[in-house]
Amino acid sequence: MARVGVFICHCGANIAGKVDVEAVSEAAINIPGVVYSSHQKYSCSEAGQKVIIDAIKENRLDRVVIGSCSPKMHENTFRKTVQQAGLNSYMLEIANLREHVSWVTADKDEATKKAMDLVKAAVGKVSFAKPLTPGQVPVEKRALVIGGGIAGIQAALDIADMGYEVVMVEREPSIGGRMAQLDKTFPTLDCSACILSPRMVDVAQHPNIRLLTYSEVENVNGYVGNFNVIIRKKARFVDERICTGCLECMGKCPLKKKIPNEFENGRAPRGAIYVPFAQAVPKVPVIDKEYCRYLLSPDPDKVEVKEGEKKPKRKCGVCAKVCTQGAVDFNQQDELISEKFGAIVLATGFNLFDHSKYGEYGAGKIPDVITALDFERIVNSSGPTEGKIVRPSNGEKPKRVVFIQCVGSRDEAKGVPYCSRICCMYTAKQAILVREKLPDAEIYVFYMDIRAAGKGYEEFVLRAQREYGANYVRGRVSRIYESNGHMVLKAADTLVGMPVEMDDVDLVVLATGSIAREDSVELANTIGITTDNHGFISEVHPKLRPVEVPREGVFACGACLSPRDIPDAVATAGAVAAKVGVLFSNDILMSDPMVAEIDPLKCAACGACVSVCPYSAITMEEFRGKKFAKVNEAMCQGCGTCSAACRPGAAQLKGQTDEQILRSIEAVLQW
Amino acid sequence: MGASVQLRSIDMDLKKEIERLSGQKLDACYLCGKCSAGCPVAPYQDIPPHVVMRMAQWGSKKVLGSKMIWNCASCGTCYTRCPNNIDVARVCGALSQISRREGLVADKVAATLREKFVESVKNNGRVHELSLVVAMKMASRDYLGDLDIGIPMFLKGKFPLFGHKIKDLNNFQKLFDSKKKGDK
Repeated sequence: MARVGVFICHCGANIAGKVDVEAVSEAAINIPGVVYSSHQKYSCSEAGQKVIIDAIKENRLDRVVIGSCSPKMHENTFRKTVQQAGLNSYMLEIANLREHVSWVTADKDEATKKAMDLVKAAVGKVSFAKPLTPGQVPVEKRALVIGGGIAGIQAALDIADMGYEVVMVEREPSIGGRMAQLDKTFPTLDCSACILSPRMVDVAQHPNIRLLTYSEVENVNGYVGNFNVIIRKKARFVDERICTGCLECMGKCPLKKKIPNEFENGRAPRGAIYVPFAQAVPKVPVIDKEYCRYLLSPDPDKVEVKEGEKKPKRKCGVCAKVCTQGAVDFNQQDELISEKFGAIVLATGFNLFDHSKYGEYGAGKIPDVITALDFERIVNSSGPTEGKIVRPSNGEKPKRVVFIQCVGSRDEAKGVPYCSRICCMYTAKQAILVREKLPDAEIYVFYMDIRAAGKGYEEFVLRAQREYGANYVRGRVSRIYESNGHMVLKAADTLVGMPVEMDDVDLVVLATGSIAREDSVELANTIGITTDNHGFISEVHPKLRPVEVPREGVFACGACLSPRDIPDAVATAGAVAAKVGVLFSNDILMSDPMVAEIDPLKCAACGACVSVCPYSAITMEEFRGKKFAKVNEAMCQGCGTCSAACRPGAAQLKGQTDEQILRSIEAVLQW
Repeated sequence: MGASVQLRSIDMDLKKEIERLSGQKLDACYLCGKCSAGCPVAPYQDIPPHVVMRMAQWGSKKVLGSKMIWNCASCGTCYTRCPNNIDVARVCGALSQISRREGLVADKVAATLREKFVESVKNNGRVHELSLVVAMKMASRDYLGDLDIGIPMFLKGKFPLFGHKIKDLNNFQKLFDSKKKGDK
């Protein structure tokens, strides 16, 4: 017969204020199997834990029920407590008398009654508990970082500096990400490239980092400490090992200056063979097979030729001819690389809202209405205008520049109800840059609210207004239109309650908000994690576990979690590195023993569990001709779905077996 | 206030003149409205002080036709509480000067009162209350109003029939000349 001890916690007045803890404790002694019952002010305190340990020893208890707060809060604490008393740590059941009773029940008698019922159920359940032992899995101490923006770079460098091997996968031909596209950064106005490019070079030169650019993650399998990842290294058609980065090929490409350069947000051209920008890392060009004349021309070996006719020749191929190293290789194929990792870091960044959804701002058709990213490139000295601020329509200097905030932020009708967090600040910065380059220009900023929470941020916005003469007008612009070659803007100044009609606007810069990458949901599915309804990666807990995602061993940092600025992206990247470091400090991981187990004798091999398992942890096995399902304990997350789906009752979740659950129901109904 | 006017663009000339006359940096104001919240006369005006500030930031002529700029009591509550140390009373003062010059005075009585006050001080070195009140009554044509307090005050000798002059009037009047020179 089980010897159960019951301990009811007051939790100060949290539980005792609503539940008659004495009565619950007295009633518990009458439950069959209970040999000891008491109540304490704070069970989680050191003194409270000592009471539990002493009671277990003195009364030779073999199972324990603690009526306290949610097991999410202190289950681990109490598991250690019972272990100290010499019991298996899984011979413990917690009755949640706080979150499930005192905090949510108005009437005192009702609360006490419910508390008694929950204690009975817990006693019923723990009476059938079995000792469990955690499994052990080895840890592969290598990390995969997906995304080569500032967050990915920081995470990779920090992890590599701890002495662990890192593979960084970047989709674009160069690392650098969004930050590489920016001119200056707020609130210090340091040049973005100047602070970023040394780190990009560090990544390329770090002995512990292997860089895979122009590559994408194709498949992720496995579990914490042991992920199997397949990476597609797209054909670059230039051999990275041979190329010296002289870029002679780029100058000779007949398509040079014919293709819009994505890095310049389409504002400057590139060739079919190109590096996206001068400081690119690696400085190895890539050939765009969508445009390259050689690659688009038919392969002579595959064309059927009639007799007497000459074989057609491949077109162009100039880059290969001018390359002194012979690095251009038109026969390169996509390569699939399979690697093993212990941890995966997501740093896939963000996209910018497509302003063509705003018909009232010209839907992207008025040439002098540009986006903030366009502005970053235009104002940058290596950008399309070599840093001169000019009107795209006629190349002249603008005299009246208008910034519009919240384009694709805080707009429920456009599906973006959230604040993008960076636009207020970058607009203030851009207003300052306009003043620096065009001392006589009039600058207006139309805003709804200014959100400048950050070190030195509010001061920065005020400086833009007071020192740089940016005129802030509170009100959302209702319309921009062209009339007789002029741009006209209509708005209201809500602080005076007067309409504003501004004629002769020369340049409008839209502060387009941050959105999730268009393929973020797809990526989340590949990795087996979730996103919020805007496509940003969901964290386990927004406050207490902000860089962990619901799949163990996977972490996320930067703007793929939610819109954020560079300091926050770098801070979360450092946090991720610390988390990876904690994981890698273990040679062996203890896996949670509360996982599913399938009794091969009862298993009918129907495969229902295999198809419902969200973690692909169940496989079909065969032994001497009999098929049965088997759980990989390291992959199982203990969700219990298989157990619910299993008709013969072969699948059981350890610690939550059918028997235990039926017993706890029975306890409430009978005793 | 005249017909509805749309704000078009910042009138830098007017804005700079207001800043020069008032000695206040208009862009320092972030329109929190604390001045309006504490202003004892704002509830009886056409626009509250923070709107005066906002219109002044635009350099909008419309503000010159406001009553608020004439009825500011210069009590300084706004200045004392302003998080940006702006003396709104001085801005109102500057605006009323420009308003008078431009012929956009919205509150004739208040304007006359001020004019007569300055005139009286200039002529006597101090205010002669009775002539000031008479001038104000003529301007407002409200001859019988305030009699309930006016008569007891007269009987108590608060409104002497003939005013006094200060001792060194000539020297005092030089103040007005020098001020004028400095202004131009």
